[in-house]
Amino acid sequence: MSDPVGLALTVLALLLAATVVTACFNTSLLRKIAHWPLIVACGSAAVVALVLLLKVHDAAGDAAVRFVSEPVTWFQAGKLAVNFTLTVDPLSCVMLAMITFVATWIAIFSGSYMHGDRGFARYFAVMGLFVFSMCGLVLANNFFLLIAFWEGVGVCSYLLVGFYYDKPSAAAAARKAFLVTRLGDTGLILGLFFLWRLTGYATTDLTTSFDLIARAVRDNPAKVEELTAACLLLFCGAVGKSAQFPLYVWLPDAMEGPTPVSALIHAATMVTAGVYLVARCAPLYAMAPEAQAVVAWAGGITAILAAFFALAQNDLKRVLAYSTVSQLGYMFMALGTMGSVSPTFAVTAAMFHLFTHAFFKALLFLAAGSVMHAMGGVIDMRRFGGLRHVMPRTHLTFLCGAAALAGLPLLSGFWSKDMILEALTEASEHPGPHSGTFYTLLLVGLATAAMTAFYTFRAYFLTFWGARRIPEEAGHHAHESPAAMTVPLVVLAFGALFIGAAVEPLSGHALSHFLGRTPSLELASAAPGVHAAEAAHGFDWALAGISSALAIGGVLLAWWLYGGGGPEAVPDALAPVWVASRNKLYVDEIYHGAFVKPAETLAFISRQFDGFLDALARLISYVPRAVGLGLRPIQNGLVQFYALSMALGLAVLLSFVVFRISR
Amino acid sequence: MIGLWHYLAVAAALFGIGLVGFLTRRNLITMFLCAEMMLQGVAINLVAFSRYHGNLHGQVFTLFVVAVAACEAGLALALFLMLYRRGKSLDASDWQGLREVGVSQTLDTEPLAPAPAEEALPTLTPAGARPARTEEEPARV
Amino acid sequence: MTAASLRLLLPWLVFLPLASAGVVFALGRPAKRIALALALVHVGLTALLVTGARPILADRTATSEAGKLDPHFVPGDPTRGEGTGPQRTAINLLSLPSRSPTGSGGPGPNVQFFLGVDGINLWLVALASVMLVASILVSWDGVRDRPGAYYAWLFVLQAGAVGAFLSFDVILFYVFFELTLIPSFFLIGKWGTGSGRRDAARKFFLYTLGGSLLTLVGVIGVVLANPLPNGDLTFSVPDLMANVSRSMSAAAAAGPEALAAKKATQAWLFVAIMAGFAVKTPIWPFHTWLPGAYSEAPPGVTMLLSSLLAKLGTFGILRFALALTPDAALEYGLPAFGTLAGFGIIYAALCAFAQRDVKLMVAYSSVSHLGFLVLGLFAFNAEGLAGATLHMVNHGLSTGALFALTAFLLDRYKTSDMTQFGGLIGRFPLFAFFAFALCFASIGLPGLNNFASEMLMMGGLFDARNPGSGGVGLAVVAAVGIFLSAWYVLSMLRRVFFQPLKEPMVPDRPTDATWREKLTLGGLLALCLALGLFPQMLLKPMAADVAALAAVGDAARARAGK
Repeated sequence: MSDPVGLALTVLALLLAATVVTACFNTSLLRKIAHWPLIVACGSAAVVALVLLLKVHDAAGDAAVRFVSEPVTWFQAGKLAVNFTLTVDPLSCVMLAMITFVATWIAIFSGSYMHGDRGFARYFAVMGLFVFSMCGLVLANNFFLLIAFWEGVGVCSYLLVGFYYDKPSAAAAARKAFLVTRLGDTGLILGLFFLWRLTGYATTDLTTSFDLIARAVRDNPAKVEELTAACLLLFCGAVGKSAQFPLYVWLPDAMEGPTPVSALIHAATMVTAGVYLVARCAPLYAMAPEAQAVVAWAGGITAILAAFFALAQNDLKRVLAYSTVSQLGYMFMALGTMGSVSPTFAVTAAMFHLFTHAFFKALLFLAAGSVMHAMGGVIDMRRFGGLRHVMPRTHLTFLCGAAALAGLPLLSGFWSKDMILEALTEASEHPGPHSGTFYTLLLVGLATAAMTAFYTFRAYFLTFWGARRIPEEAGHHAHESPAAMTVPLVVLAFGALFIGAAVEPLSGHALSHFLGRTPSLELASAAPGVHAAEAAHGFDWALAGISSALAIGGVLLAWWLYGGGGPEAVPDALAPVWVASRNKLYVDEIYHGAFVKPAETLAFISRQFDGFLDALARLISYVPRAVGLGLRPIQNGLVQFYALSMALGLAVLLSFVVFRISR
Repeated sequence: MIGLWHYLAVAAALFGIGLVGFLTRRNLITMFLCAEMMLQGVAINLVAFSRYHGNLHGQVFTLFVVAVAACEAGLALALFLMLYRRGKSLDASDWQGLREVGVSQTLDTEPLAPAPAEEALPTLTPAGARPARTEEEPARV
Repeated sequence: MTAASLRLLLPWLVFLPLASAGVVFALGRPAKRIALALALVHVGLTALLVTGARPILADRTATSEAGKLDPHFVPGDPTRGEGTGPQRTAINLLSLPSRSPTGSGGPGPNVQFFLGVDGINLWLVALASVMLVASILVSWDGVRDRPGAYYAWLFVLQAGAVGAFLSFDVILFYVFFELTLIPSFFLIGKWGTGSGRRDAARKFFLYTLGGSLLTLVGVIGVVLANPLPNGDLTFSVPDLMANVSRSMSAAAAAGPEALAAKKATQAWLFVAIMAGFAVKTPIWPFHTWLPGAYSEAPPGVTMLLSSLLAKLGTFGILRFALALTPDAALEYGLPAFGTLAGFGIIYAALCAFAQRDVKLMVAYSSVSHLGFLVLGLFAFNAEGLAGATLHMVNHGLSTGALFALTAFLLDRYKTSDMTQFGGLIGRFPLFAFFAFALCFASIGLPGLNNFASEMLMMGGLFDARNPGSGGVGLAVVAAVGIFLSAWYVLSMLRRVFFQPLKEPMVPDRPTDATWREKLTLGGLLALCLALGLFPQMLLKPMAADVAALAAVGDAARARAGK
């Protein structure tokens, strides 16, 4: 199995096997070692994925490269044929390598973090399925297969977020996560059918349908509207899964699950799916400028809104969760510039940020998990502080992650964020209907960058600086975490620091070149109305300077306000802003009042109405009863009366027959 | 020459008498006899037509009718016996208690004449010892 | 299995349950073990049929005759299956005098014992066979009162369902269709669990009987309106389909007035036929018998009601409403019944959310899912019909499984009121696993069974080019319905399985799934998974039949365009 498709299948098979084996480990004897199958499988999958990456890289050279597996029919009737088929191209194998690599370290971390939990085996079985689904998602070459893995990801997140099932808040968060993403998926499913219709009911395979739709739209420009509708519906799914405005509400709640799960969801396996979907469907979005604008706007609104919410959260994990939402908004902003800069550049920018973000966000969450582990499950920043001496390794690695997230110069986050801002700048200079949009979004991006630096370091200072405070729940746990937890932190910290520089500026833009060899991106560049020329993207010193200055400014502000540690003191003038931020602008409450409550009320009204409907049906049964009441006196019990009525009836009937016939 | 018409006339007369009897009499056995009479009227009809058409269909039917009438007689008389045991009466209108609930009773404007007292038979002057009177079951109507 | 032996096997699929009913009834006390054994024998026979028939049905390259059903393995076929053209039977149940004016050469119209297998009913028969075993296992401990009679009635119910699925004669179908009513009536009324069982049984019986009598009128109307070319009547479905298509194309050739008159006749017949099936399915607003009947019946019976009897309704629509009145089904199917069904999807989903009893929630969810199925049927194209047929099997399995889950709770706690439960994951881990997996199957998660069929039906709606109907709009409604199903099912899971432990007080501490529950739930789950991963196993053999029916729809579309 050395051909690329075979390697991709090996990755999937390894992960699936790990899931099944772990599920069988759920016995009292084997439960203690239930994490090993997954660690081994993830590790070997990561190695295989790396080999695959190199193989594809070698095969790519300067030409577009893609390996498609032989389609096997899943279900087919009439014109709707759905196949099991995988595709390996630069985009999918970069994703695959990133997912398996990060997941391996998270699995190792979890083995120690979840130690002694009664659901130990359950945790690893579901986690295996989670990683498997995500890998399948990036490899799928059929829209319905993609949806299948997409939903698989959703279910696993549901099971993991609700892992502590007896906690009512976890139960609510799990349901919320699944339902909100499912709401987006409803749009996604409809979008797929619109695409199927656009291909002329010909195919549901990704690669073929891109070609067919491109041809159809080129032949008949009127179809752009339909395509835009389809793209927007697809984007609904991405909005749900990647927690964009207005469906981002599930992600901050989703940290009710075990902390490594949050790391997995935020970094590798779930929220990136939406970004990947839009990147994968770049050929479609490239032809629909309106859809691009919507993507960009959704990203922009989300980025700044989530950054604002993150400013005043007290819960360390919640700060990180909102930062994820905000960073995903960045990625969507980049994807929205697709038509104005070249699609390759836009997608590369988004994927690059996704790539670096995976490292530092996994790191931050795992470090937060380490803190939580030491603090006996407490994660409220008001209750602890000054941990930098208690947990030195966690402290340092968290600092690396925070710096990368804040976009301090030369770290991973800096390079990728810079690329997105560059894309926005270029898009705003590109003459087109949406250049004003992109100019606004550029400002949004810069403001968000400053806010990101501020809230990240606020969390950092509140947690690790100031006087040492440890909650009583911590007990004897208040010390540095074991090596099984800190080693992943260190590995990811190296990634957070250097991976960005390593794959882009130092290696001569290796990632951009490699991703540029993705066939679907080349197709996107050929779309009509796309700014196709792949300009040599020079490094924009001015932009980098501004963004660095903003980031450093944010960090300094945080240091000035919180350098002495907590508890935080908010100036009176800013108090309302702080309250608004802490309460997330009451969006959850508004949603509850505007959508959930009415729906529930409607449900209860329906139930009452059903009783009414039943009464109506019952009303029919009163008709024979009433008729019977009328006819009752005839049954008077006199035989002669019956005989007489029979005789008279017969007489009437006979006379009728006789006279009818004789006439 | 006796033709079809004659047979039909007899049959119709039988049927009519039976019908009137059935409707006017309240004694169950009389009613039953009247019903049988109607059946026989029909049977005559069938036989007459059988003869008229020159095939056996009507006669076969008649055989059926006779057989059914026999069964009916057996069943009906058994039923009457049971009814009499319960009510000590053969008046059909005594059974109007079987009417629907809530329907008022039909009152008999012309009650059945009381059964005449047993007439003493004329006896000869006893010419010997008076025989002991044996307790016999009274005759039943 | 050769075709000849399959032909011998076919009647036994109907007679065996009837015989089993007699045996079980006579035995009385040890009834359940015997019943299980006999039901397993039936499953064995069905397995023989499926393994024998699947390759033959799947190998049909194209329809033997476009627009005509193609029954196989017909018992009593004079040509022994070697003749060309569709198979027919020579077993007459009732012969009527020929009214053919051309002479008495041919046989008169016969009501025939015309059983046959095609790609569509094969899977429904298999479903009926499997679900009875599940139902017997579910009833194992719950039924203590006169078990002999109980299991005997279950067998009669199965015989009726299998017979109706296999029938290719309209009268025979109707007889079997009504045969299912009698056992259901007694099973609900006598062995029901609630206080309103008698009322529920009566309502169910009268409501469905009232509807199906109208269906009988409609079916007889179709028979009278579509005689053979020589003027004789026929009761065989394939012949009737041919007659319909012949008379419609003749009318189309004759001119618009003739066509309009034919269509008007069809419209009335269609409405009459649909009356019974709409009640049986049920389509909103004819569903009001369902909550009562499903919640009052014992769980084992509810399983059969939901998985078999509801399918009789949808199967009837497929075999009669679509095949015999295609023009009316095209013209009024989606706009009238589709709109009702679409409204019902949302409405029943909302009702399901508002229920506090798991059993009632599943009952309403069934109404919601079946609305989707009806939409798929009336799309009247290959995708929709194949999806709907597949969904009949899938819905039977997954809804049956959900009722089996409620039986678990009922057996232990005598209640399935979800406000009384909480945190059952920790209490019954294995049961929770089954519950989650089966609930996921019910909300259409990919990899489990309902996904493939739902997608096919959606595809059918998107591809529906029926005149004057918004297929896409209904598809959107259906998609919202899928979302709502996730809403109520997850809310139920949250109440019952998450949160701190809460359970009603019962004398003895309940245990996790017993061997028979593992067998039932595990078996159903395995089937759900198999159908989710390999739906093509079912779709391939039915492709030719679905194409034939879709060709009928296309012909009607062509006529509607005129």
